[in-house]
Amino acid sequence: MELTLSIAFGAWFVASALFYGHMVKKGRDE
Amino acid sequence: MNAYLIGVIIALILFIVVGVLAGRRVKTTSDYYVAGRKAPVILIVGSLIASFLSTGAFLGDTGEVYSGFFMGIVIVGILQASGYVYGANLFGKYIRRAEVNTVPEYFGKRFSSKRLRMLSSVTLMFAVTAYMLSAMQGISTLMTSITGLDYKVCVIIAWLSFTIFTVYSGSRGVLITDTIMFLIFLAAALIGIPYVVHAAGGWNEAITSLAQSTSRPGIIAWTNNLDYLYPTGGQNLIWAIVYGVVWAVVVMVSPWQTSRYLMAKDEHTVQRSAIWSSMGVATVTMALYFTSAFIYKINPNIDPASTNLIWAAMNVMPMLVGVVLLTGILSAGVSSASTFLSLIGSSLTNDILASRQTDDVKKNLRISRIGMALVSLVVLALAFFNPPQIFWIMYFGGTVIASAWGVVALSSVWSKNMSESAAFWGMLLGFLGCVIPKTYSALSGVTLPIYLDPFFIGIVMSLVGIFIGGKTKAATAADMAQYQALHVRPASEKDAEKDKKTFNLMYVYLAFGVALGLFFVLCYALPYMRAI
Repeated sequence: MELTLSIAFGAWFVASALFYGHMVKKGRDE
Repeated sequence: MNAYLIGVIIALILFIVVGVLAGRRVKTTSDYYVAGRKAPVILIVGSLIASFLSTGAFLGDTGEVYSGFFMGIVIVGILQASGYVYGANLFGKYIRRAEVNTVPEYFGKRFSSKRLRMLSSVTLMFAVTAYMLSAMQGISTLMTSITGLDYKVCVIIAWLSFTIFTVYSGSRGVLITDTIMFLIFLAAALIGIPYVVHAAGGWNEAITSLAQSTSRPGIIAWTNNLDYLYPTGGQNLIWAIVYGVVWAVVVMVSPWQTSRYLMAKDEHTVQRSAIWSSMGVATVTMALYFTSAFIYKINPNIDPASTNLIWAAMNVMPMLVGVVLLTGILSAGVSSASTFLSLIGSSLTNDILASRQTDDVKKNLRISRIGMALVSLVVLALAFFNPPQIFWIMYFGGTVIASAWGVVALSSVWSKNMSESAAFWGMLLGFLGCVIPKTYSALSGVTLPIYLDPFFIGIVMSLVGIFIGGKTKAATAADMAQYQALHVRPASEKDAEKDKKTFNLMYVYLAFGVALGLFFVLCYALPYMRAI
């Protein structure tokens, strides 16, 4: 479980980065 | 006079001098409330982090880690740090676009509603006063333990240290001093680690020892120590995720965070600041949490647990490093208190007393300063006389604002059909839905089950309020026009070069996420698994 959580921490930030990229791109078309 | 006291005095004088100097350029209420809307990324990042991390993070959270709740606090820390990215892109960028002085003014403008502006201002004052008293108590307690001075003397010194420049310089002073204080506590959080790791016998030895701890079993396990909060790992994990989400929502919508975006020089600054702030908060908090776990390995008998960093600064680190750490903790408290005071004062004069504003720029500035000074005197009186019937509001913290503002704030940007009535009732019922069960829990001593957490009740009530309010009165043409206007990008933001730079920051954040995951796998999970 400790290993799973450690990987999940990194994965959550990676997902947040992709969300950021998506929103920045979307914002250009507003 | 000891070295710690000298360090603290130098820091406080520095903050006052820099803050007051910044105020010399304040000419209008726009300068006073939103620093002229010209702040660059570094100042927004400094103020976002300095306003968010207070003595609560440096003393409270680290105390919980020391007491055996390492993984619970780490999960909360990870989730809350990511809140910046969601908050800036779903709310912060749009309130910056509305060109208002305060967040309650945004709500009022979005729905052309005086009562919503009033309600959001009152809920802001309630939540922020609670926080401010808590921060002042933290600063004064810390100063008492460092200097040996009487608690009430420390309350006055703490109050003076942030009131002088906040009243005189407003947001311009707060932005600059916040950034200086952030740099001090960033250094404080990082430079102490090597000494603590060394004293704990090295990194791997410390992880192994903590993993095998019999005095506090589970201190760094995913289950946490089962004697601390809930009796099972699953319940502790659910608690951590719930509170991580609560604090992420606080980062996304709370006035002490989102009001910083109003001061950004453009929307690119809002988005870029969010990325750097997220990485900054994650770095500072993770450094602190590992440090406190290692301090337990060095000395498991520190009482109260919340003083473990202070003990380490005075007993494990060289004097100069210890001085920096203690000054850093103090800076975290003072920087939050200055933002809180500035928020309460701004909302009082800009939102509650909006009708007193005139065409005379100097007079408006004078009214704002007098309002801020009066608020600061009330706060001093509350903190000084410490009446128990007032201090109960400290129990409320950030959950109230998350419940009252969370759904309404996000819907105000993303729901075309949101009406004024829906927003008003959503905010009011969200506020009451959190405050009433929290008050009941505090007064009766009954611990509510995790699924009946006041945050959940508040969110559900907020949704009910939005539904009923929406049924009572649908969105008007004016509401819809405001919504449309929010989603039109200003011409001044359209710049291909800036767009590219803002987008490319995604790669930095991606790399940070990968590095963070690798750090936890290599420096925590694998050594832990080898030890058990």
